[in-house]
Amino acid sequence: MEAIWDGLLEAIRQVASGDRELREIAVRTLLVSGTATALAAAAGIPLGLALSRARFQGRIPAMAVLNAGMGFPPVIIGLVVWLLLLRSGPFGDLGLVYTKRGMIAAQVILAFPVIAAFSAAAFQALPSELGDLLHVLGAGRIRRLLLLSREARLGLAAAVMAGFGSAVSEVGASMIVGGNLAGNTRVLTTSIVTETSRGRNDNAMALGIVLLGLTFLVAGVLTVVQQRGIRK
Amino acid sequence: MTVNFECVVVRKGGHVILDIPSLALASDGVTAVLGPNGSGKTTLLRCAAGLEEAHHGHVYLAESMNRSPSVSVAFQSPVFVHGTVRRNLDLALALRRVAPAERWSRIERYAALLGISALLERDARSLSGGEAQRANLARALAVPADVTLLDEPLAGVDDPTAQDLLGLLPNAFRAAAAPVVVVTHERDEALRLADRAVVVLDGLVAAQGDLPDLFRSPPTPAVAALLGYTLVPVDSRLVAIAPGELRQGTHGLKLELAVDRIHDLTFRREAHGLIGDVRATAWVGDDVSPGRTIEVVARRDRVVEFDSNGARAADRIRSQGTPEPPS
Amino acid sequence: MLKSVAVVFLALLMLTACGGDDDDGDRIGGTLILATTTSTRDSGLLDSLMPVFEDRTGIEVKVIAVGSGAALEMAREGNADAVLVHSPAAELEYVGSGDLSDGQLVMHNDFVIVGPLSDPAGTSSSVNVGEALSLIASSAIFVSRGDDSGTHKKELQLWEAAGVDRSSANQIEETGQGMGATLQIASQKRGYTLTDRATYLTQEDDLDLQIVFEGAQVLLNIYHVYAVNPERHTQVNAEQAQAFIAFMVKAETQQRIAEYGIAEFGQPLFFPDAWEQEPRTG
Repeated sequence: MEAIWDGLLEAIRQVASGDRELREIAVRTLLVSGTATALAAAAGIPLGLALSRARFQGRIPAMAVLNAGMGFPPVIIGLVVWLLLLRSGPFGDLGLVYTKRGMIAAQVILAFPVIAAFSAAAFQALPSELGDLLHVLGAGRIRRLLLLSREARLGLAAAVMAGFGSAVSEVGASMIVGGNLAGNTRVLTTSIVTETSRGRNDNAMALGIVLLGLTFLVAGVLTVVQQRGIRK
Repeated sequence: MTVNFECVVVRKGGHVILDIPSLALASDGVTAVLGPNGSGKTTLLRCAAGLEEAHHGHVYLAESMNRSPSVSVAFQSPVFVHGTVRRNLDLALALRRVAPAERWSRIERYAALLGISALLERDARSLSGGEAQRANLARALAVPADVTLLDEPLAGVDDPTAQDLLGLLPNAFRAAAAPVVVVTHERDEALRLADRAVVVLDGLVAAQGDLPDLFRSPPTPAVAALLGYTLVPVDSRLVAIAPGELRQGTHGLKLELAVDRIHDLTFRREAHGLIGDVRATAWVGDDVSPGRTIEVVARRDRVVEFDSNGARAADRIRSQGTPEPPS
Repeated sequence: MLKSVAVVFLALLMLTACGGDDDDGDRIGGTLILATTTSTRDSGLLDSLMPVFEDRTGIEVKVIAVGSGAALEMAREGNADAVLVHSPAAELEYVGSGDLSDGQLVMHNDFVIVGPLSDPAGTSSSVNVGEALSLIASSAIFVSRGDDSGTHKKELQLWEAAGVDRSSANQIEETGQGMGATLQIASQKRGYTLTDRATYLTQEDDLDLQIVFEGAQVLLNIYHVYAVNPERHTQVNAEQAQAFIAFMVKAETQQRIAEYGIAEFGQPLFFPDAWEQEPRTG
């Protein structure tokens, strides 16, 4: 108990003093997981819209794959991505192993099924006639996607939050693919693992608090986006 | 502008729900697509709007003046995006690439035509059922289109609103100046709004033509029943009596009505009862009471007869208004 | 009658005693938390020894494989019963503070410097560790454990001894991970790293790395076993810890250590030292 308390105090001290390394790791985490979430959303939201339409061929198998993807152990995704990116692997020439871009690739795969499945549910909650009406009135695919996304933004913000959550909180895949290289691919979760294995529990606590804060920050921003205009 | 159906077959879950070998819909004026619920008329409208893929055959709009034809639609349940009624109408017009100045004038004009000028700044999603339907129709009619498709425009609105809309819609149709297709299961709606009708039964086009002709001379018993005729088997024939044409009397086709109850309406007295197995309503005089069997008649020119196969037995017996002597 | 009973009793007693000898002592039971370094786990040595120990003593062993730093920290907080570590300088500190007791020299292996097959820094020709490290620092990537483990501490000592300022090195990547993961990263990054020979040999087939420097006295990697001092940490399983220490240094176990790895890698991974005062070079 004392260890937890001491750790907490040290953590608060480090966070309050704006420890440079801590700040760098936090910014890097936000950058990696934020980019991954944005890419996953860019692909997942349109797929969600397509899947929400009853006429879409192969909707049920696709939804089954996405739902299975959500429950897929992240560490296996990490392992497979790592094997693919290794120099000896099929994508070895890209030189992505142990890089931030490699980590982003793994996190996109993690967040994508979450965002796509949640988006499909969000679009399904809209009356189907709305999409039909926009179609009849001559709105193109992109325009329809934008207009319907605005209508479904409550559900879509939740989808993006869930996607970010699954990307940022993952440790196994980030460790395997990124390699936890200091000042390079070390993010909050992998850093926590390292600090505990070094016996520096106070540092681990500080990182944990920052990770929690980051999650709340992103959730807060998205909630504001989500709720804005609802009162109107 | 005509919506042409050629060899169109639509299946759902293995069932054929629409089968139209050939149909030209809405060349001008107002056409009613009339049919009971589940007959396939909404599917027909969705085909015309390009929203339903036919498993066979195709639906196309005859092109006019080298531009791709455009359709406007009002679904049975009104749907709106977030925002005011004005924003919803404006968005629809903007998607149709109507210039901003013209958008404004169209919105004002059609809002006035459907009685929602005062609702334009209201949140579209907070409207009552009747208000929402008016906004839905205003949007569909305000959008420039080669064909305007309205699905059950009076469904789900209260009676005063329905009566009001029945008065307003013909003016709005004239203002829109595009052919209009009204899908409905209500004979009266069709009669009040449309010039022509396509009758859809079990996914098939059962009849089409000018509404007065169709109403005067339904081609099959099923169409007659849909149009409100009372179908009575007489000997080996099926006699269809136009709605409201049974009355107590002596001249015309004679039938026996077993009265079970009487309605006193303000201007007339109606007896409800059975002719054979058929439930019927007849206008009656003051001396009729429940429990009696009375003789009722239908004017011959308001009667259509079918043989046992449902084919027209003979042309309507035209007496040209002169009452026949009792047979 | 009484006499014959006494004879039988004596005989039984002797049999029991003999049986006890065969079993290497009493079956104690209970559990033992062993804090050790990742190299003993990653090399597979513990996996081959622990079933024997558990079988003989009935003690259930929970192996916590972390860096030596964290293992010693666990001892300081009384979270382990015994430690098997290879960070002699740091160990002295914990013995001094009274957290560790009953230390015994167990075995050694040695550290080697591994690097890409092409050896871009040209370390193969260096005459000592300092020169090898200087060459790497000036032109190549060095992958460091960076996890306060015994290997990491050894590496830091070597840099210091070589007079190379780490911050001025060409590129040093800190993994914060175990030896196995660090070797993988060094292989993929075409970098050099300091590794214990055992872990390197067990993973050699999966790595594009070769030994570029070995054999110096300073590269010896010496393992000691300690009990966490029960006088200071009363909650520890002292009896089990003593049994473990006894097990690690006895002849049979030392023989197993000497033989471990020969069948698979053609050479031993560890060299038993319990019968010697100072280890020989590997």
